[in-house]
Amino acid sequence: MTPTLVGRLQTRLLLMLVIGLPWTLVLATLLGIGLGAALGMVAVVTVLGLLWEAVYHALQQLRWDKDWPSLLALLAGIPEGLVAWAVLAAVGLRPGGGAVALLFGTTWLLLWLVQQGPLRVLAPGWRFHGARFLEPRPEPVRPVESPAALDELLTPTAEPEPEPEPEPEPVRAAAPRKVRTPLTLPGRRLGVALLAAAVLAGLGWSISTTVGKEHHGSARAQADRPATASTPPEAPAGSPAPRAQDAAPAPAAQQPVKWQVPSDHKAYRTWDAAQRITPYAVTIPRLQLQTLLGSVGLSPTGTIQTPAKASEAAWYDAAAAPGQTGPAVLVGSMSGRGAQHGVFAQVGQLVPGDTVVVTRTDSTSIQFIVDKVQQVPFAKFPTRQVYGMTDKPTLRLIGFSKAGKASGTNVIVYAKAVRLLQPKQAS
Amino acid sequence: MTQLTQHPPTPDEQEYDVRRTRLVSIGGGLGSFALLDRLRIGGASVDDLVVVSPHRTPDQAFAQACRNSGMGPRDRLRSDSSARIDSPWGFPGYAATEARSRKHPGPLLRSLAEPVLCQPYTPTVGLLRQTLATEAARIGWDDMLVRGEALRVFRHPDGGYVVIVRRRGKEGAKDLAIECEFVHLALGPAGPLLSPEAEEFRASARDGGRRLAHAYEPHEEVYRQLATRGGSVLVRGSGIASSRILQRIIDDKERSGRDVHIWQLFRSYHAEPTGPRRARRDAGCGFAYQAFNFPKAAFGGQLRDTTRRLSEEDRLTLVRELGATSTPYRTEWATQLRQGRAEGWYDAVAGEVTRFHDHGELVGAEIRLASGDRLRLDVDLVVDATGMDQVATEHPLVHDLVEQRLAEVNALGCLRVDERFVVAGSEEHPGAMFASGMTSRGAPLAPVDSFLGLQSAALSIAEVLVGQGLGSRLGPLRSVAQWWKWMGGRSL
Repeated sequence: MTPTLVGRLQTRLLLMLVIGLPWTLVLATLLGIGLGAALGMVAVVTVLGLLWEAVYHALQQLRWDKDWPSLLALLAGIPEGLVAWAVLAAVGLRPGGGAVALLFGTTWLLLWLVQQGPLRVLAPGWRFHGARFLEPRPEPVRPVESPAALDELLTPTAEPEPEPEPEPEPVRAAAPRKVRTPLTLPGRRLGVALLAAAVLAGLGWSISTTVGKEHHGSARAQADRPATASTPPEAPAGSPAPRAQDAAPAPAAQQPVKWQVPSDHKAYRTWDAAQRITPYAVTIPRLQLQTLLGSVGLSPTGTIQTPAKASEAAWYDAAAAPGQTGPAVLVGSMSGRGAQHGVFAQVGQLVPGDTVVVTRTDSTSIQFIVDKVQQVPFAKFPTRQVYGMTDKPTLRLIGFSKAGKASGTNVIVYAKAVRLLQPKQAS
Repeated sequence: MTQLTQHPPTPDEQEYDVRRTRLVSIGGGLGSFALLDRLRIGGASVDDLVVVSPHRTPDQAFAQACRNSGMGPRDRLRSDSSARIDSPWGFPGYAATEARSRKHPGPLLRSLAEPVLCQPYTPTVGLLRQTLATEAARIGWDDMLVRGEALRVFRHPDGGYVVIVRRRGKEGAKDLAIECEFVHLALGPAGPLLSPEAEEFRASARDGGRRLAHAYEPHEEVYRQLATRGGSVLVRGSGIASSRILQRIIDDKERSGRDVHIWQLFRSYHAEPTGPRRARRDAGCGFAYQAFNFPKAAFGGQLRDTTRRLSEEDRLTLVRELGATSTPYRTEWATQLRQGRAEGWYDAVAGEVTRFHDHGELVGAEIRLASGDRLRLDVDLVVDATGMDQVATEHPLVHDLVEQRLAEVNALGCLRVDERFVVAGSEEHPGAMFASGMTSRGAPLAPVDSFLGLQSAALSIAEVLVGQGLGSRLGPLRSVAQWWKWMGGRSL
């Protein structure tokens, strides 16, 4: 901390008022100290504290950095507590020995902790203003009155036309902006009062969260990763264009496609779901689709990379592998580019109960059964639902459309693993 | 580093794509990031903000400077735990983040006990970049980014500014004209600073002067040569960069066991602590020791108030004094140097190089010693750690602004700004031009080109912009709510 003298006094007064006082009153009630005595103690300690701040300020001048390290701020409680002890006895306000130590010690620790960080959250400017809360507002700059057409400026050679040119369509509405007048003094008082209230309200909150953070590190660590990927994998536009039906008889629209385990494969209901085996290909019987899988990772912007070609599907290698506990994610384009067609163009036609088979590089395959097919607008991509951890091995197929990044839909197919298929040994 | 070439726009012949927004931040490094982060947290929409940058991510230029000076992701910076570039609150600090990820309370305890019981905690390059990338994704950096070079900024006659941008990688595409009310310049250093004698040597030497490396240019081959063949090396400078170079050379020497002789040239040799009688700055082995590039109170304490109060002339004098070359005291460096002195493979020289000679296989350095004597040193290699080019007018855009008389320049060659970081000379025109970071050296805030300085500038600028209806004030309620979002990593 690098406080100034005024900042020290302001901080001390405010913190004693909004934290020290309520805390003392609460503890005093628990300890059975009268209200008058408690208020008297707070008053004495506050006045002493203001004097101490002057002493600390003088000591601070002996430091080249003109700073007040956290450790010194904490240890300063020892002499301050001893003096408070003596003075409280002298004015006859000292309750039992342990009570004062408890009151002073806990209050001091609380105020110190608040100054180590939570206070910066309540008043972000505090640390830049020498620990002062009250700073004059900056002078306003001259506002721009009417942003006018730019075209004229950039093409000065334009012929003057007889009739006035129509105003070009502004990109953003050019309505006169509200210019806020700086708060007057009563307003500033209101601000301080609000701050005081917020300190009280936010304190318990922020402390509980900081403490909570230490304990729930893993939960946050998990939340972190999808956060970077919170933007959906790719911006889609429009629903997948249904292509002309293939010559093969189309399966009934709402009935799941029956799919038999091939006779040269053996099926198992259990397998080692901890094993991570890279997928090799995906087969979707309803769509008569079989394609090799590439792999994609995260782009530097935190979104999933998309396969290089619209005709390729890819596995997101930062999530689970198919057959491994957790969500395995396959992405593919729904809209074609030039002669290519989007590999997942028809993925929206899948219905619950359909089969998706993913073949893995160890020649085993995992059969997934579709649970749900969802079409969501880009802005409402259910990140948690898609990437969130699952107890069982699951699969998500994500179809995206390349064109138009601002709006559109993603098609998400949720499926769960049911069987592992292994080729029978050739005899 | 940003390499801009002058392309004068030709409005007569060329048409522009026109775009309107409220604020354009030119630079796209950490300075732009700090401001846009604060504005986004204040509720400004991505449509109102544009950042013009040659880089894809905000940390690219910074990362490149780190790489060039030989710092890997695990190397520690010279910065405070609470000086977070990815958060205006700085709480929890880098120390807490590192403690959590390492599952070890060490960094946190160190940050609480510093600098009384231990040397200060400093974050690593990797931690900084990782948290920055997360925050950039959170505030929607990519939605605000226009990749390209800002060719020119000029005043709109009706108020506000027009920024002409040549977009990156689009051959034949039209340039972009962005009409805006506010311009923010945070252009960073112009590049490594080569002294005239070093430049002359590079121009005249047979091998193009590869034996004279610069600390902020890739110079890995220097270390490789010393580790494989040994030899003598002259390190110029006594700042943080030279400390790192010495550490690297000595580490390599211990590992390879080669015979390496190190000469270090100090411009001013600090044998004794300096400063006022009672509050002295520590010094030793010739180095002036200071935890950060300025005394801590210059970031937001008593010295901050002093620099704000003083007139520009006095302020620049004080800033030069407080920000004079210094290096943090770290036990490993000090131990190595003591050992080097005792064993005779490290020599410190106080003076200035007047000329470099190309002397066959060797580089001859003519040194005028502080005592007035002359010294001729023949060394295999020279590493110049005299710093970055911090003169903002070296940047063509700033140069052009000054030529157009849109901005004024101070004695340091940087833009003159007031305590709101509004560029002097732009106050009368409706709208505003701001500068922060190295572009605004000599500002009422001394350490402008530090993480905390950038955050401080961002808060000041945002306060002014709030008055113009861009974003809202970070009052206690909004601040806590936004901090909560930041902690949860929730997208804005």
